Amino acid sequence: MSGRGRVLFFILICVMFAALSGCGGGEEEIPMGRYADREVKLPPGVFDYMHPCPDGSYYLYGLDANLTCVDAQGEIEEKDRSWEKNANIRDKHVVGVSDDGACVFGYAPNFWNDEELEELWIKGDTRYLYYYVDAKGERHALEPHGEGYRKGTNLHIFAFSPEGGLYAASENGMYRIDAESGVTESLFATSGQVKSVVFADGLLLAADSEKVYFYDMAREELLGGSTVLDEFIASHAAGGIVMAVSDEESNVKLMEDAAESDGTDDAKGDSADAADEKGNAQVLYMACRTGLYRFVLGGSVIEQIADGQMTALGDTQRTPLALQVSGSGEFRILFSGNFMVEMYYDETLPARPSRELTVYSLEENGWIRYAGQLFQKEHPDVLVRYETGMDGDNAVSKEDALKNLNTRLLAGEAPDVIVMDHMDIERYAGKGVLRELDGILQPYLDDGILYRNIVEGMRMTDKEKIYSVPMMVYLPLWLGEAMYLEGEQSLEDVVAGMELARQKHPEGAILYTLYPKDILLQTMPVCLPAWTKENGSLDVEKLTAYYQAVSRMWEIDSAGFDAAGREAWQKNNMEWYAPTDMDMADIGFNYQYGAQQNFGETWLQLGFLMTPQVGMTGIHVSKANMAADWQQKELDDVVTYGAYAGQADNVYWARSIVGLCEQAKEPALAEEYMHLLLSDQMMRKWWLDKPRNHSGLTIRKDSLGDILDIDNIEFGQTMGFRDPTGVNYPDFWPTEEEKQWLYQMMEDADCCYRPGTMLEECAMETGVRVLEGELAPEEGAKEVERKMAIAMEE
Amino acid sequence: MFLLPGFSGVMIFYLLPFFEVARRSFYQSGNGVFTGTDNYRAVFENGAFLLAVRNTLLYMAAGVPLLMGISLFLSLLLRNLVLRRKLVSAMLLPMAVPAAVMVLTLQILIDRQGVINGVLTHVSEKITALPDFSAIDYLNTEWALVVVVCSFLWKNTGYMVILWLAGLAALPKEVEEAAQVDGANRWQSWRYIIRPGLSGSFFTIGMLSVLQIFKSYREVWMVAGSYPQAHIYFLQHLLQNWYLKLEFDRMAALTVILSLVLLVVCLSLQKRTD
Repeated sequence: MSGRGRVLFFILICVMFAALSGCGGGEEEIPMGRYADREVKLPPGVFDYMHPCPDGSYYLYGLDANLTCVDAQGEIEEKDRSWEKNANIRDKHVVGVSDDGACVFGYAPNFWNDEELEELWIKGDTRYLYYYVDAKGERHALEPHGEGYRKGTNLHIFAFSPEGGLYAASENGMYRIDAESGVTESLFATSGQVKSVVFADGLLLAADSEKVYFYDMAREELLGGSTVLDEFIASHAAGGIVMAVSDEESNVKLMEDAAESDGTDDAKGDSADAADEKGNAQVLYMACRTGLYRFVLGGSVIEQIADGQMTALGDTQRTPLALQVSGSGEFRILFSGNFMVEMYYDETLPARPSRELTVYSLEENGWIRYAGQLFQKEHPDVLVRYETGMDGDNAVSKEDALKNLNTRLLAGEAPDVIVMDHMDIERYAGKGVLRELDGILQPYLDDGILYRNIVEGMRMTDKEKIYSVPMMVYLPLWLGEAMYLEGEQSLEDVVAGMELARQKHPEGAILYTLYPKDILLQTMPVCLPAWTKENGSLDVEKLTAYYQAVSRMWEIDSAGFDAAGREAWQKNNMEWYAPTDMDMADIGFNYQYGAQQNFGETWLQLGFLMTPQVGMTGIHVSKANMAADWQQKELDDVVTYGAYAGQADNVYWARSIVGLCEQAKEPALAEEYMHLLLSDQMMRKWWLDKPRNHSGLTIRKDSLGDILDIDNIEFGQTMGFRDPTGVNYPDFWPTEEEKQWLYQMMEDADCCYRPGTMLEECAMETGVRVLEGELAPEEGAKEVERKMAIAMEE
Repeated sequence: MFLLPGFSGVMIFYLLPFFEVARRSFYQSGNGVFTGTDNYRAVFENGAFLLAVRNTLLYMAAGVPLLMGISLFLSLLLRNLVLRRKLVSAMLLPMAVPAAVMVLTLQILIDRQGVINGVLTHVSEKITALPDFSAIDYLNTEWALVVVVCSFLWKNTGYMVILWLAGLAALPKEVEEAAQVDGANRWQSWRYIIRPGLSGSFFTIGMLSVLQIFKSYREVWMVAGSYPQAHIYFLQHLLQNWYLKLEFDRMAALTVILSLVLLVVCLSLQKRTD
């Protein structure tokens, strides 16, 4: 290399270093102002539809609610819909409302009044019927018919144009309907189910999960779309998307660097232009999980207005259902779950948070996500980034997700908070990934706020410290006819109870176990903690006894029907029951509502108490929802429940186990977040907001007591319980005795079951082979021992 | 200067990461404390490591010679056949088959209720003189290693045949023909002309076979999981499981050990063929 070359090389290296070290940039000042949201208190009722009106008012309608108009000042006017009660309407499914209050809805009838319909439903042809009600309340049945409309096609979206024309979408097309005569005309086909329909100055815009269709209503032709918009929709519509149109004069603020595509704002794209009467360009607003966006019709740029992660839009538990934009640049969004927010521009907030708290969990955890939103509201300068290893969309296996996490840890990119569910806590604690929590938890324990036995159950054996804490627990519970299990104390007693039940009921299922894995899922949590000896080795004798017991249980359960019967039963359940992807929580839920419907009878259920509330899950304190079916069979008087033990006593299933990272970038924030998780506010508010959740029983004594005190709970959306005061099931609220029984169970629970351990996975895999007869119980136990021996050696 | 672009690629993507791994092998992961040779000692004292080494060596000892021998034998048979190209193309098919399909095929064959057990059961039922046959769970018995070796041979033989054929094609035909004219028989031709002429190919094919042994882990993992039957627990299982268990320090030490062993094998093979 010549001297000149060396100098050039040296300069090049210097420039590279300067660029990499950020030389030339000073401390960046974050500008102020961004969109925030606040919850809007909805009128009484459960609403899943909103129609925004141009004057700022909006209509709400829903499954169980009257048509309600809320004007721009917040005044509520309820339209009388009492006639619906006598109109053979079982469930309203789809609704459309016009600016003047006329509405149309689809419904499922009480088909036992109509033999033809009943037959269709039994065949699986779930055909809806429709009603049209004009602004004055005059109503008539709407029967869509006409060229291009196949009789029986279900319409799932209705929308009125500003001129009052009625439009509807089916699974694969858009239609125009004459509301008076029902004459239906097919407009265009769509490639998927339409998610949102809006109107913009003579145009109808319909978005499915792949693109936005532009239909010129005057010329009656489908126009060319926008590739920018289509690409956006294809990548953002997965969690639901809603649209609204407004003119450009709206006082909407944009985020910094918000453009989603190249080009300039005024660049003309290939989509149809739209302008209002004054010639202003129309703007399409879109709300989805990633945020709120705007697109000038005819333009080629999509700009972000608000980030989903910093607003309620990012909540994966909720789907946006409708969007309204006001002239003052504010937005109103209705979500599933009877939840509405207003998004407003707050100039006092930094445009983007200056600090970041990263929370990681292997699987989506609604409670943790909820806590993140709450934390962010309390700390507007902090962005809570909630990351899931297996987010459901990318089909990442648990093993791959763990590898990704470990790579991050290796690279020093540890999250601040880790949810340790389905992870090896001992391992991560032993490797110094987790921070010791004794200091944080001690005040809670000293003051008797948390259940000490549950927290102590998380103490690690080797370091004698606590590195993670479950926020919720499940408790084992059986439910069934009293004669079988009263006083039951062990797995052998369960087997004996099943034998007794089989003698009494020679045909049908006893436990509702569709697959061998189900029976293992039901019983392993209460047995697995007993399989490890004090020296950490596997207790082969206990495992053998377990395999023998579950084999017998499977035999007893299978004796009620032949193989073909079981196969037919499995087939019936395939659509909504995927055994390989479910854990006990899902199964508890599905047993109640799936298997029971398909099989008709149940005599015994083994499961977990997931919620202390009435009517929310498969098994619960007050036996109400079990009784919902059983009551009809006049069995409620013989149904009882109780705690059960397997091979281990006083087991609790730890849920939402949270640990803090030793290498957290924001340790103080992480600690604050932990305090929020442990707060009464968090534990109670979650239950108030999401009463149907299966999170578990809170480990805070006061919160658990408050939740059990049902007078405090708004039962807005419990399953089928129309009247929260308990008119339908007045006798099934928990009694004082039942509450005390639950408190005692919580006090006694000191044996922790944590799912996802190597031993469990191994025993599960081998257990299926044992139950299928491939291996004898002894052989199965030996195989687990052999595998565990290698794992121990590692 | 001519070598610089290529060498810098090797430096950035291979040597520097390897040196970093080697450095990490002397430190404890997590807290970064210097531990000297503790990680290496821990590896050599680890029971799972010894089991994996034993199995990997057994697999290699059985798989590599068999693969080389069978493929050489087939290539010698195919050498002068007219249909050589079509046959070789057919033999390459297993290489083109996706791993998932191969695993499925394997399971259909060797499952307890699989084809092999079915055929053997049928035969034992038909021929009363034979003892009763009870279905074998091949992947969960000592047969597991045999299954893995067979699948390894099935997948790689075609490719190795091509390599041998390329080596054979490079041999000057005149020499062989002259030897035949001088009265040399096939064995003598093989011993004094073909075998010495293939020594270069021997090194390449030998190295590739050894490397294929390490690469066949994917199929074994897919068919038997992270903790397979003890006879087919290989070094890659150990590395994979250590990665999941955050044993980065031991992993680094094992990686260095494996690299050195492979280097020694490579050099000794080269020396031998030279």
